[in-house]
Amino acid sequence: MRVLLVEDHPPLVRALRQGLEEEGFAVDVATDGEEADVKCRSTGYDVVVLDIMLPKIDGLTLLKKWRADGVATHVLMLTARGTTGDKVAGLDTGADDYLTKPVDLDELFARIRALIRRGHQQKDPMLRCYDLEIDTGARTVRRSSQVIHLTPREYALLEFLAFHRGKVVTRSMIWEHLYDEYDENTSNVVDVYIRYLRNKVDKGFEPQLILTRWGEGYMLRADDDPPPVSAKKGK
Amino acid sequence: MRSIRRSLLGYFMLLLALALGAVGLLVDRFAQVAIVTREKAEADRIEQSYRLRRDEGQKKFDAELVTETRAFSTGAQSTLSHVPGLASPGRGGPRPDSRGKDGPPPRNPPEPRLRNVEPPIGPSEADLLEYRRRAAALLFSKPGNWSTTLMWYGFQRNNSPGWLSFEAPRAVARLQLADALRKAYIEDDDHAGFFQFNLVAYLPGQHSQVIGVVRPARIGHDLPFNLSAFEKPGTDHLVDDVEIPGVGNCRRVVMGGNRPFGNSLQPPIPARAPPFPPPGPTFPRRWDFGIRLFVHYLRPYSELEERLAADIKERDDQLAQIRDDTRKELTQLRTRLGLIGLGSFAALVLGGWFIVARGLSPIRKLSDAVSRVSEKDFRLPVERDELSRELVPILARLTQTFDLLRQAFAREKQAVGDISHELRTPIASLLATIDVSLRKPRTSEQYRSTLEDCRAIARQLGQLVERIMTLATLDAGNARTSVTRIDAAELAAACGTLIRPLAEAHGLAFAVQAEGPLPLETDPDKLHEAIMNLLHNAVEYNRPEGSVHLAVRRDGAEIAFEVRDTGIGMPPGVREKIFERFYRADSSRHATGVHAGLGLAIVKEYVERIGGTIAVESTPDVGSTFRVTLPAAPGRPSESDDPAPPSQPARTSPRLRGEPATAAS
Repeated sequence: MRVLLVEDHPPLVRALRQGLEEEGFAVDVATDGEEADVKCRSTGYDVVVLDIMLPKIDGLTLLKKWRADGVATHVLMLTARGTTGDKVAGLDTGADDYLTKPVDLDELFARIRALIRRGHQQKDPMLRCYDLEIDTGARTVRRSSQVIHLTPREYALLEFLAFHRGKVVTRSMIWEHLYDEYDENTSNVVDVYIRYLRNKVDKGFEPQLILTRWGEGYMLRADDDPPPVSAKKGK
Repeated sequence: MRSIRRSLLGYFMLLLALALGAVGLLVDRFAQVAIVTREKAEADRIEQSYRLRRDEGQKKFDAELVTETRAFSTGAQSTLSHVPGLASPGRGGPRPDSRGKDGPPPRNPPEPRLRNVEPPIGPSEADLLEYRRRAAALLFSKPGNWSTTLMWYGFQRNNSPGWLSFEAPRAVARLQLADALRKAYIEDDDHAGFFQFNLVAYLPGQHSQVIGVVRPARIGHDLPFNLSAFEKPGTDHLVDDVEIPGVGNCRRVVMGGNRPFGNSLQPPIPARAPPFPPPGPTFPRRWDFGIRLFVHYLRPYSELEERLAADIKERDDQLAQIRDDTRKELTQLRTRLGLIGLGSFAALVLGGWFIVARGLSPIRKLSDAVSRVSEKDFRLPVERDELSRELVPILARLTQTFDLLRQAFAREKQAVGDISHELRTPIASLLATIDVSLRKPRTSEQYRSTLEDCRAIARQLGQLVERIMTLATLDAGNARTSVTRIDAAELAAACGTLIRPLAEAHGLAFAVQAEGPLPLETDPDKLHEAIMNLLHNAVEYNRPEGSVHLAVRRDGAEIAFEVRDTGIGMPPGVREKIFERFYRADSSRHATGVHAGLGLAIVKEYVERIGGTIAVESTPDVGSTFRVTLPAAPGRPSESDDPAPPSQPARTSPRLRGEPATAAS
């Protein structure tokens, strides 16, 4: 899941970036309003963490512009302004959530996750697919009650597939949502990770959950998708 | 504390009481006068009517008295008529005036008389004269010494007219009229009334004289008698008042006898005079003397008063009634006045209460409005039109004060918000850094890096707190200034030394322009701090390859520090606000992140604290010039500078560089 962190205080940027990345998010950073505007419009972020006091363009103005232009990205305001009036103003301008500094990191991450779930119309923090269970809160994966250990990148990929269960996700989608701006885009990195994931999730289990759509991308098996399962099984 | 309402009401009541009292007194006085006048008129009327009645009574009384007197007088007259020897002249012989009303018919002498007495002497002139002499001597000797006798000798038909004869003293002695009266009225039959007889003698050629007075002893003294009043023709009687000791005031009627005893007092009638003259040489032909009886008859007034007693009583009763009425009316009037006064006082006090309450209602409105003002809402919820004109200045002042308060509160709130904001961001950074670091085990290198980050953030935080504290101290007015005499040029040079490395690190050109000494009496620490802040700003908000210029020069009686940069500059709207706290031109903390919009506020506070002023000129994208002006220290340099202030700039510019030593002289 890709997050844009808009914050002009360097130490905070450094800390949050590290924290988010260790949590498996792909993090882009913007240190002023203009940069944030450009990045937000060019990339489909899952969540934007937005400060208000920013150089050049302040956060509220920016948010208002985005919403007016139909930018539907989830925005979490993270700001030092903590009065009720500020919160109301932020939420009424179009923010999806509002947190005041200083912030508890766990809460921040949880709220970002909640926003991501909301983006996929997913209320249940447990994503289920046949006997696969993904606990988005604890970031643990089980298959047939058997814990599967995944790296953050693998987990993120599986979660992304699970959020789009039954739909094909292209490589570029995966790329856009799982890798930040500094990651080097090598053509087969997605395929490599898919392979890792299949080894951990599908190997030794039936049915195969991660399906390949040749020429399109990958998808997680949906409930009404039995034929490919039997077909694969047949192979 | 005094209540306006109570004191107003008090004054009002006092005034009211005074006015009511005055009005009441006036009304009372006038009413009293009117009532008393009416009473007097009424009393006069009663008195008048009484007097009329009394006059009537008196008239009646007088008439009765006159009638009585007449009767009495007639009685006395007749008494005298019977005195032997006294004869009416009319009856004595033919008289020329015998046809007078009193003259009885001469043919019927009714009574015995002393007549026909031979005259002692012949009717010679000498005799006549002798007779007259003796008669006069007899008559007009002192009354006590003579016994009143009257001699009368009538005419004889045969004698020549004008001859008189008189009786011999023997006969005359019997003619004691007074004695006869006394005997008849006092001695024989004591008359109960008050009366007096006066016998008056008329003598030819002489004045009339009272020759005898008869009165009862109880009268005490002779009553006065004015004979001359009767000389007026037609006067029959007189009525007057006399005082009788022991009896009191009395009414008196004096009545003259209807005819004299003796010859007529009437003058002779010439028509009937005989044609021949009398033999006597000078005598009037028929001249005689006579006696007239005057009767006084008195009644004490007490009789009249007895008769009038009923009237008097009625009058007195009426008067008393009127007095009572008046008194009652006055009492009633006063009671009414008092009641009206009390009633109107009460009514007016109530009215006054109402008026005062109404008059004070704008004040109450204002105070209500003031009491509704809170720290949330400083507006006075009252319209200017609702108040009276007198309160408008107060309202204006209150509005102004509340506005100032509101601004102060807003500033305070803003400051608190700003401070919390400025503190929250570094604290958030600190916490986030620590939290991230603690999420999983790290290498010692990573921990070190984290700690270093934390230290940097904490240092920023410390600086920020320091600045806030500085401002708070300045605000509280606790910051002491320690004034010493310094050289502004030296101070500028010291600042330059400190800032030059920083400027060069930013790739900026830096120049100091200061020729000293420029003596200044100020707090060097604060001035240094202010200049350093300005220089920091100049470095921070500069463009790459720019320059920072610090200049100190004397400007008249002042010394000016100028910090010029070639930075981003400011539009006018920003220029007005840069000295406000927490204000940043672009709300950015991109450079060092330390200057949380407090630097210029602190500079301004410092400069103002040491008695200077700060101003800024700026052009966007060209640069800004901050100018701190301080009064120059008085003393030695003023002598050289004052005479030629206009030439100063011209002189200064050539030696801007490189000649600091000579500038002092």
